[in-house]
Amino acid sequence: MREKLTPATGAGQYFQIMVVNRGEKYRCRPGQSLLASMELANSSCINIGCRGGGCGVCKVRILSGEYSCKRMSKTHIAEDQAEAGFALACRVMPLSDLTVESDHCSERPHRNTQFYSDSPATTVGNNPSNNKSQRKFK
Amino acid sequence: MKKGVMRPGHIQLRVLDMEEALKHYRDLLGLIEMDRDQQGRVYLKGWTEVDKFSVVLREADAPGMDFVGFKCLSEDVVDSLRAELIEFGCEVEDIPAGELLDCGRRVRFNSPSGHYFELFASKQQTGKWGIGEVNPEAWPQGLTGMKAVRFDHCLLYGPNIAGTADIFCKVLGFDLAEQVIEPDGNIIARFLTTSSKAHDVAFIEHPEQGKLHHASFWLETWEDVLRAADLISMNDVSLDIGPTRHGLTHGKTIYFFDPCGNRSEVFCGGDYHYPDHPPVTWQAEQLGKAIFYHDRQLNERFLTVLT
Repeated sequence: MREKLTPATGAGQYFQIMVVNRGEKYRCRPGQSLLASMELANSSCINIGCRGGGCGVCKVRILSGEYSCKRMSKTHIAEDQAEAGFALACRVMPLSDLTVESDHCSERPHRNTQFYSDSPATTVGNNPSNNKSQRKFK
Repeated sequence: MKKGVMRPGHIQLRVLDMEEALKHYRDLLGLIEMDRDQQGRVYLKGWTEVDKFSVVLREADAPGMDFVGFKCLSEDVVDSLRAELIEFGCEVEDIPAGELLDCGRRVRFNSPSGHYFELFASKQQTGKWGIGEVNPEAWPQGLTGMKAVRFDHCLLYGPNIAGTADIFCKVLGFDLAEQVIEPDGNIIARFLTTSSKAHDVAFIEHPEQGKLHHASFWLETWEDVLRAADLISMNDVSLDIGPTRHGLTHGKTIYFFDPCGNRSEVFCGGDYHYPDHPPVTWQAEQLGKAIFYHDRQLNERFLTVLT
């Protein structure tokens, strides 16, 4: 007798993702990121970058639904932006159906993240870490 | 090494999650974890590197590169270059010995492209990992992942790379080994060397300051690059492009991302450079072939995804 094929745990359950600005929708399994599930659906309605929360290319705004978020680069998602629903799709784990707006990567801010050091440093001239404007070079 | 700068000595990278990053740099790339400091920074190196470390990871709220440091022949060289950097117009910061574990004092300076660089001459030498100095075996047993041989170079994006290249060539004695030139003569990519390697550091023109394109690690053979590609698939690592060959430097390569989006490269082979060689030139009209010698087509993600 053939063994009955049973779906893996959680199979059959999925969230519906609606990307309103592209007029596309796709399915996301629990535990998958918003971006990874889009790639699995062979869609391209969200731009793919590093897939690690670093580059800002997959920036979206979540208009409705529940989700959790792994740590994202502050260069691309400042705290006030996160509160306004902006997120990087590669770090978003949907917890319900979501309605999102993609193509927010062009809003990337130009900001330098300065290195820091706990140890004191003797400084000659202006300290680059305390001086955001670049000194003119000869 | 016209002015006594020997090689890239270390790079400090920012990561969002240290334990995830170690799965990438230690377990996948195969770097050796050498030490950790009180700030929580982790120190690693490729197994052939004689100095104690070449990669420093720092957990932060945004990925990218803090600085890359170049090792000089002597403290006297560091002193004289420090004076020349100030004369040239750089802002110079003296970092005391020990700020990086078992590393001597460093001279840090800024650049028009918004990157920070360092010169140093002293770092503890622990020797190649896993093999002795006398009658050494070919390679150590017990390496993991891609078994990265050494930290090789980094590619940096920023504005006014001509100004940054001036610091490296006029002050630090680097040569322009390879370049990409637009029809109007504007140079949009500069690959610089202080050795016989095709690049010890490379720059591409870009409006945002201080960006990292990738940190690169050397492998011995094309077979090793293919094996790296297999490991990338086996571990579901974010692939950028490859395995393929570059036109620029002719290196055989694969690009992929660490868990917080910093791009890594492992590569083998490629061009060599001597100080009497003219720069190798690629025309911007052939940029697709210059970057991906086989596809001969530009890839938007490769050009624009940065940390």
